[in-house]
Amino acid sequence: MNEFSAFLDQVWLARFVILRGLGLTVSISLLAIALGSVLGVLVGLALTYGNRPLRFVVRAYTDFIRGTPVLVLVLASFYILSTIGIELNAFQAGVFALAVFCSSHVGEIVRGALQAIPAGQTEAAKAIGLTFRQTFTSVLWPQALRQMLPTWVNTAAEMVKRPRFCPSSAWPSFCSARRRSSRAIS
Amino acid sequence: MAELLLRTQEIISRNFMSLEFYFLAGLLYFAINYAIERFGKYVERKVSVPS
Amino acid sequence: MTKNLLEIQALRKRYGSVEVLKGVDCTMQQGEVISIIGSSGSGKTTMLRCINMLEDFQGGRILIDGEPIGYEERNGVRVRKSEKEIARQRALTGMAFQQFNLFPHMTAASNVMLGLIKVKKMARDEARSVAEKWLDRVGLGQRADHYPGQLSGGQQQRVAIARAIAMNPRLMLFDEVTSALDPELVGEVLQVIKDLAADGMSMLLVTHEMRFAFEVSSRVIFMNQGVIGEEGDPKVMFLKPQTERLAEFLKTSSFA
Repeated sequence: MNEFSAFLDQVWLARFVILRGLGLTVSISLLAIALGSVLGVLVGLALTYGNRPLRFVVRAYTDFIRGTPVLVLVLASFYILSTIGIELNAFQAGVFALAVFCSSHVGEIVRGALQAIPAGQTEAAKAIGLTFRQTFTSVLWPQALRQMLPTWVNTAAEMVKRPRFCPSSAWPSFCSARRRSSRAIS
Repeated sequence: MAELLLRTQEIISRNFMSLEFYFLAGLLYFAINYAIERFGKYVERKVSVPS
Repeated sequence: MTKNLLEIQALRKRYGSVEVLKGVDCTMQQGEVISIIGSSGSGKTTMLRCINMLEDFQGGRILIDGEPIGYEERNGVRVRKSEKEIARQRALTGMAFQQFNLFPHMTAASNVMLGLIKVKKMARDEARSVAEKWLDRVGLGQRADHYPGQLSGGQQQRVAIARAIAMNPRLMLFDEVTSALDPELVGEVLQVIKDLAADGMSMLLVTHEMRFAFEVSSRVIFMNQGVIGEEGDPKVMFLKPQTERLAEFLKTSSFA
C-alpha cells in the first residue's frame, strides 16, 4: 500500500509531463489519421477508377509505403526531405510520415470496399440515367463507407501507437544532422 | 517532441518505477483506443441499415 | 406509317473473340409488348443490355424514336457518345434486373426518388409523391419507408420496377425479372407487369416464363445463336413453330 501511494505521489508530481505527452500523442495521431484518411481516399479512388498508368504509380506508392517500417518513414521525412528543401520540424515530420503511412492503409481499405460492391449497383444507377459522379456519391460511396468503417477504426486505433517513432530530443540535433546529410549528398 | 511513451521513459529514469509507469502508459493508450472504438461503434450504429 | 419506337439494325456484339450478337434486326412500335425467348447464351440478355448501353456494341445501330443510341458518326468514324449524353439516353429506357439491384442503404421510396431528384431535377416533395404513387401502383404503398433488406424478393423486384417506371421511360426492359424469385413470389411480379402492359406501356421482356410470354406478349422473338431465329404472333410461335430450332426449344422449356 505504501508503495502504491508512493507511485501515486510520483504520478502527481509528473502529472503535467504525462498530460503533455498524452496530448502530443493524441494530437499527432488525430492529425495523421485525418490527413491520412483524406489522402487515403484519393489513393483508394485512384486504385479503383484510375487509368492504367495512374493505377501503376499509386500501386507502387502503397506497396512501397506499406512495406517500409514507420521509423524509416519518419527518418526519411525528417532528414531526407530537408535535402530537397522541405524543412519540417519534428512535429510536422512525425505527422507527415504517419499520415503517409495511414494513407496507404486507408487507400487499400477504400479500394477493397469499393470493389466489394456488386456490379449490379452501378448498372442499376446507370439504368436510371445517373452519371458516374452521381452514381458514386449517391450509391457507391455511402455503401463503401459503411463497409469500411470497422476496418478504418482498427487502422485509426493502430495509428495511436505510432507516434513513439517520432523525432525526439534524443535524435541528433536536426540542424547539424541535416547539414551533414545535405553535405554528404552534395 | 516528447510523446507519451518517451515522457514515461523519462519519468522512469528519474524514479525507477518502471512497471508502474509502463502500466500507466498502457492504461492511457488503452483509454484512447477504447474511446476511438466506442466512437466507431456509435457511428456504425447510427448509419446501420435495418434489415 | 407509324414511326418506330425502337429500331435495331444489324446489331453486332463481341466479347473478345466470341461473337454474341451476329446481326440482329428488329423494330418495335409504341405500345407493343415483346417477349424475347431462347436458350441461355443465345444473346437475348446481351441484346437488352445493349439497348440500355450497359454493354458497348461493335456494329449496327440502335434507334429510339429515331435517335441513335450510344454512338454517332463523326466525319465518317463511329464514336461513342459522351458519358453525359449516354446517361441521358439511358433514362429513355427503364430496366429491371434479374437480381433487383435495389440500393440497400435507401428506403423503397428513396430508391424510387433518387433518379427523379438527380436526373429529372424534381423537388424532393414532388419526387416523394411520384414515388408514393408508383409504389402504390405496385402494391407497396405501405412499404415506402422499408429498406430492401426488410422486403421479400417479390416486393424488392416490384420496388425495382417502380423505380424504373417512375422515370417515365419510353420503353421498359425486363431482364429475367422472375428468375431469382421463389416460385410463390413470381405471380405478384408478373401481375405488376401485366398491369403495366394493360396501361399500354411499351415493353421488351427477356423471360423463361413461357406461359407468361404467351399470355402477355403481342409479339415473340426467338433468339438463337446470336440472331433472331423466328419472330411473330405468340399463338403461331408457341402452337405452330415454323422452325425446327424453336420447336426443339419449346419442347425442352416448361411451356406445355
